Amino acid sequence: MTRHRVAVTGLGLIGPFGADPGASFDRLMAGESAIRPYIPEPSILKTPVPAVVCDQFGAEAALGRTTAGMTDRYAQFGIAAALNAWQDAGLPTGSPPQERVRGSVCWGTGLGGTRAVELAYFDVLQKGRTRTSPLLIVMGMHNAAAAHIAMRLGLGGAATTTSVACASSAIALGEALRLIRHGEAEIVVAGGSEAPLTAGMLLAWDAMRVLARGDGDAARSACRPFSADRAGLVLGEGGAALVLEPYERAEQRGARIYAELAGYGASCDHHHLAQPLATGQMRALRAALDDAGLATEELDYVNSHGTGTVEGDPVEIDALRQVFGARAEAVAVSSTKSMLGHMLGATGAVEALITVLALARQQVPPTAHLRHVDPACEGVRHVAGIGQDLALRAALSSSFAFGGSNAVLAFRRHVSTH
Amino acid sequence: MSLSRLTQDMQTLELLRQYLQKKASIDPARVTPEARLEDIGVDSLILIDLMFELEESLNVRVPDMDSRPTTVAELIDLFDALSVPQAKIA
Repeated sequence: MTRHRVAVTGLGLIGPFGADPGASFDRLMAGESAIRPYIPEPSILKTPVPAVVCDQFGAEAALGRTTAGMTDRYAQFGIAAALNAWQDAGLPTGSPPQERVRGSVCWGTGLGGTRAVELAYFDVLQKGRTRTSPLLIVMGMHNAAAAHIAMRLGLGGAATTTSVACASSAIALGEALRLIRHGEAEIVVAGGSEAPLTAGMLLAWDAMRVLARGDGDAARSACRPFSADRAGLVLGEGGAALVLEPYERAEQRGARIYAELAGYGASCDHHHLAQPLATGQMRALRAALDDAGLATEELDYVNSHGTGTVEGDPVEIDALRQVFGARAEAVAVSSTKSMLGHMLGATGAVEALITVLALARQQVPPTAHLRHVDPACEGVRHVAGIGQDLALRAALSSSFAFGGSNAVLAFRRHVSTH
Repeated sequence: MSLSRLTQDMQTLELLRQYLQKKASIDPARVTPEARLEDIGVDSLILIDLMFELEESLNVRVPDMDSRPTTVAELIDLFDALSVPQAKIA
C-alpha cells in the first residue's frame, strides 16, 4: 500500500500576539511573555491570576455575526485559526465553498464549549433565570469547532474531535497524519482550540494547587518551566490549525511546504490521573521516532510539554535523557508555555505550529525566565532566555495529559527538491 | 383587522427585524410579512433561537406544535395570538 508523506502547507493561529504566526514566532524568539494578570467575568475570584488572553481577537470581525452569535469562544478560535490556515495554504475560499469529499477535519479540545455552559449555569443558578438559550446545545458540544470548520470549507470526509485533556490536539494531528498517510484523505485541517479562562475553571485549577501566582509585572514571569524556582502553570486561551496534504499533491499544486509531519507516537502511563511517568512518555517518544523513521542522532529540537510544575518537568527531562542517551546533551529543549501559558487542549496544535516554524526558520524559541535550571531537569541543551539560530533537521513536539495520555509528533525539515 | 391588532403586528415585526439584524445581519428591509423565512436566511436553528427571544421579550410561551411557521406573517400570527398588546420592545 502506498504510504504518503505528509506536508504541512498552511498555518493558522489565534494567540495572544494576534493571528500572524510569523510575527508571533518573532515575539517568542525575543523571549517575550504574553502572560498578564487576569480576572474572569463574572468575577468570583478576588485576586487576579496570571493568564494568557487573546485580547485582539474579535469573533464578529473574524467569522461574521451569525456564526459568532451561535458559537462558544473555543469554537470561534478554532474556526478562525482554520480559515487562516486554509488561506495561508493558498486554497480557494468561497461561499458556498467547493465540496471536497476527501477533505477532513481532525480537531482537539479538552473542554469544548465549557464557557457557554458555565455562563448558562450562572444565569440559572445565580440570576434566577428559568430558561437557557436553545443554542446552548450546539454551542456547548465538543465537536462544534470541527463542524463549523467543515461547513465553512466544504470538507465532506470525516470530521472528528478528540478530547484527551492536554494531549487533545496533538492526538488530532496524529490521527490526521494517519488519514493522509494511508490515503483516506487528500487534505486535512487539523488542530485544536481552547477557551478555559472562566471563573469556574480557574477556581478548579486553583484548587488543584498547580497555578502559578504573581500580580503586576511579576505575572509576566510567573511560568518558569525547568527552573529551580518554578511555581506552577499558567492557563491560556487560543487555537491553531495546520493544513496537511500528501507531499506529491502539495508539490503538484506548487504549495509552499513548511515542514513534513513525519511521525506520531501515543501511549498511556496507566498509572495515575495526575502523576506523569517517564516510562509512559518514553514509549510515546520512541513510537514517534520509529514512526518517522528517525534516529535519535537526527533529532535536534524538542518543543517540550514543560508546564512549569514541580511534578511534571523532571519526569519529562528524565524521559528525554533515557530516550536520547548520550545525545541528550546536544538536543535543544524549550517550553514556549513560559510565554504562551498552557492552552490545554489547544496546546499540542499551537506548539506543533511553533515547531514547524522552528524547522522552517532554523530557529529555536526559548524557555523564558529560565535562569537557574533545576538539577533534576539537567542533561539536555536548554535554550533559555532568548531564542537561538540552530541548524535543525528534525524536531519533536510533546504533549502529556492528565489521565496519563501521552502524544508526541515528529517533524522533519522540508528540503526543496526544486 | 382592528387597530390594536395592527399595532401589535407592527410591534412584533419590529422585534423580528431588530433580532434578525442583531443576530444574523439580515437586512430589516427584507423582513416583510410575505417573506419566506428560508429565503431571508432564517434556518431551523435561527428560527428556534428567534422564537426563544420572542418568547422572552413578549413574556409568552409557544406551545408544542406540529408544524413550524414558514413565513414572517405566520410567525407574527403565532405570537400575536399569544401576546397582549403593548408588549415592550427590547
